[in-house]
Amino acid sequence: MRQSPRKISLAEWDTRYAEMKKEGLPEPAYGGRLSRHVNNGDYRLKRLSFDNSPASLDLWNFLLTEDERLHESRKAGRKIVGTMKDLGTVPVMAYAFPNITAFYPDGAWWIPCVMEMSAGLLRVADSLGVDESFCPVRAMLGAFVTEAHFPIPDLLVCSVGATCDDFSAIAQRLEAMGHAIVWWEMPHRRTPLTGEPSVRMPGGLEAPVDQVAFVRGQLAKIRHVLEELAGAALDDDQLSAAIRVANEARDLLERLRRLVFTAKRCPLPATELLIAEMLTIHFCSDRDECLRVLGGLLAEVELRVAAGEGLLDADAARIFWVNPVADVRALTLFEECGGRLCGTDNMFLHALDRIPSTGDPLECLAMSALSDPMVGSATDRALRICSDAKTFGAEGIVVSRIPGASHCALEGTIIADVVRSRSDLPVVELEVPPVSDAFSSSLSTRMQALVESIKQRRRP
Amino acid sequence: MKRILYRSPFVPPEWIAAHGFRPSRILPRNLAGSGGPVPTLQGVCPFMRGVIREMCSHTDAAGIVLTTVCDQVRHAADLLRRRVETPVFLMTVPATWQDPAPQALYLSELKRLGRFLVEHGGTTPSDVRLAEFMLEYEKRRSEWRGILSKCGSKACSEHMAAFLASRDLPDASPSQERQAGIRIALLGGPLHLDAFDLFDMIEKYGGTVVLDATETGERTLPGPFHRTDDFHAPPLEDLARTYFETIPDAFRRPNNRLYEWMRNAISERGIQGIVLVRHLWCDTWHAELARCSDELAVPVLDFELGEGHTDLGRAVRIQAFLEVLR
Ligand code: SF4
Ligand code: SF4
Repeated sequence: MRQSPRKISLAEWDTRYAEMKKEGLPEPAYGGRLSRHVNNGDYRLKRLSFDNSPASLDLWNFLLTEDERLHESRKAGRKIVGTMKDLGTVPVMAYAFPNITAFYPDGAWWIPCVMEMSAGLLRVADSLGVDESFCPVRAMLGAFVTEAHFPIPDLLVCSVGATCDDFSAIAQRLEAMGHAIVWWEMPHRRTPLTGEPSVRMPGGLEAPVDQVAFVRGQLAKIRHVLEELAGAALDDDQLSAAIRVANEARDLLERLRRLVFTAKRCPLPATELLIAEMLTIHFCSDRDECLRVLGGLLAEVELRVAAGEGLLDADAARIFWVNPVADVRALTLFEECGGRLCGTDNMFLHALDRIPSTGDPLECLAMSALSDPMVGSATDRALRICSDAKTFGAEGIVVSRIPGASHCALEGTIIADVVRSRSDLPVVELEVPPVSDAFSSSLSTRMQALVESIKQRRRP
Repeated sequence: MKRILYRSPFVPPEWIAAHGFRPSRILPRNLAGSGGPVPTLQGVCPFMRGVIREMCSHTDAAGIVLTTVCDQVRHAADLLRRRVETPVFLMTVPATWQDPAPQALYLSELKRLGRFLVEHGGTTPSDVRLAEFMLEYEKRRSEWRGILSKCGSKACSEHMAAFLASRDLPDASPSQERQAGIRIALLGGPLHLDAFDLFDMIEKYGGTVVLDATETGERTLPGPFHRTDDFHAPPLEDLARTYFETIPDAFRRPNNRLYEWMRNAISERGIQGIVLVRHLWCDTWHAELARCSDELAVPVLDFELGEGHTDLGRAVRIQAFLEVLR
């Protein structure tokens, strides 16, 4: 059943799937032929290429069946919590309750891409006055209106403050449409003053103790709201246990990322890695299965690395990628242009870093939340990018802008500034719209230019 | 006296003045042109660019105070720190307000601002000194409200802009009577100085602005202090509470107080139409547009102050809007 690693098309997957089935492929309940998702509207799959391992098949199927899982959770009597914007904090706490399933409505960000605009969500957002000057997360409004994707949550919680204006504005619009939201404040993370008590955060930054205490207080409020919804109290032991499970997922991912970024030959395509990163944010609505899927992917990658196998050209340019792409096809294009991932900052590194696990668990969670790269300065974020790029041996950096995102223009400028002042790595900025086909030649030109300049620099 | 430059209505000038500085609220005259540390890029709010460019031209300033009320300003503060030598202070203004913790955070941010001011040459004010400045600004605000009832919104907003820029009173108080006409409210983000001609444009086509609820107008005047006559309790707490609780704004979460405030104003002042003023790429106000139309029982005109509209195009929009309201 195992084959040497290769990127294959959707049609090739169908053939391979049939063969694997004959050979007795063990499958989870959500398993099946990948192309069936096209019948549900996920047309973009036809334009992508995929890793050919059974572990990757599970990964894709797990991702693409999340809405079904959420509807099943509702039917099974579980409470559904829509956690918004914090990416990686509240779900850790929510999954500590046996009767709560948490997910990010923000994930609708990718629906216009995956369904190639066929779902009409952006049109709905337009009709609500949220046009293309906002980032693709506006699709979330459409998903709430059409109710054709995730179930409407029993509870919505949203972090605001040092978050992007797009999301804050859109969430407010959602509340005004009748979806009550419990807001919690995330302050802008600042550098401690001289002599001010501070703590070291995941990711290596320092933050003032007072800010951690403030965020802890906000999370205590959310804990209380979740307790009311679940009809049960959550004690510190249960929360600590939930943090341990979250860290299990983060540890798996950390090992996976390190191998993917540093192996001699690239053992996993960029798209599959991006999906793996996304799973850890909220376990894709099933914590146990998420651990299994990540574990399977890691095992496959470990085998490949041990066997010296890889997918892309052995001399692919090693590139650090900043920001998620609104169209996953752009990552396929990136690899076709001769690049491979060598480090990522998809705006949620705090959801990948280990959560501190000693002491008060709520404080640990607060530290994790406050280490969000998007709530501090872009300079802090850029410094981490420089340090990670060095650790993983990146040879260049792509800063991928998100159309309409309020933070991107200035943040991109700052990141490029810092990288250029701290290293001699070439930096390319590009913008990826939700369906980028019309721009693929200009995107390719920019990516190829970066790849070529990296290869030139390698020459003695 | 050295100046401290600021922009947001959530930065109390009383607090800066009490530290021995001249607080100077920066409003750019116009937004055209390039230059300044913030590049002209797609996605960047031109008003914010203009403010930062203007701030950087005041090289004699002792400091710049920006706030976190908007993502773009937050990042601009970061860029500014990298590009200019003037010390920059970024003050957290919480978006939420429904539990006591955000207000306590706002108070602690004012204290941190105080330390910044002292570090850069100011002196820690006594309670009495702070109270004096609070009373002075309180008096100004009640004068502005007086001007408003007699002379209209433009006079008041101009008077405010002049005083808040320098702490000097303009030579003459406005005396012109408010013109009759279709009663219009301006609502939205800040006006730069050249955009004040919007008031005249509205008058020209038969309207009169009876409420300036833009960020540079009456909406952002904090309500009266709780203890202006009796400052035995720490006045800083009163200052923090008043600024934090009484300025309705679109960025607050939830922002229903803005709508309550507008609904009251609409009924009290007999407002017949709203011109929603927003800058290009300003998500905060842009997202409120449809809701204003849904929830405020008067017609709303979307009025974007961006490169996308010519002066003529703007005038035509105002004219058409007023015709419809007639
Ligand atoms: S992509 Fe950027 S602007 Fe859009 S929701 Fe995410 S952080 Fe906000
Ligand atoms: S107008 Fe809007 S985008 Fe511009 S600075 Fe103000 S709040 Fe920010």
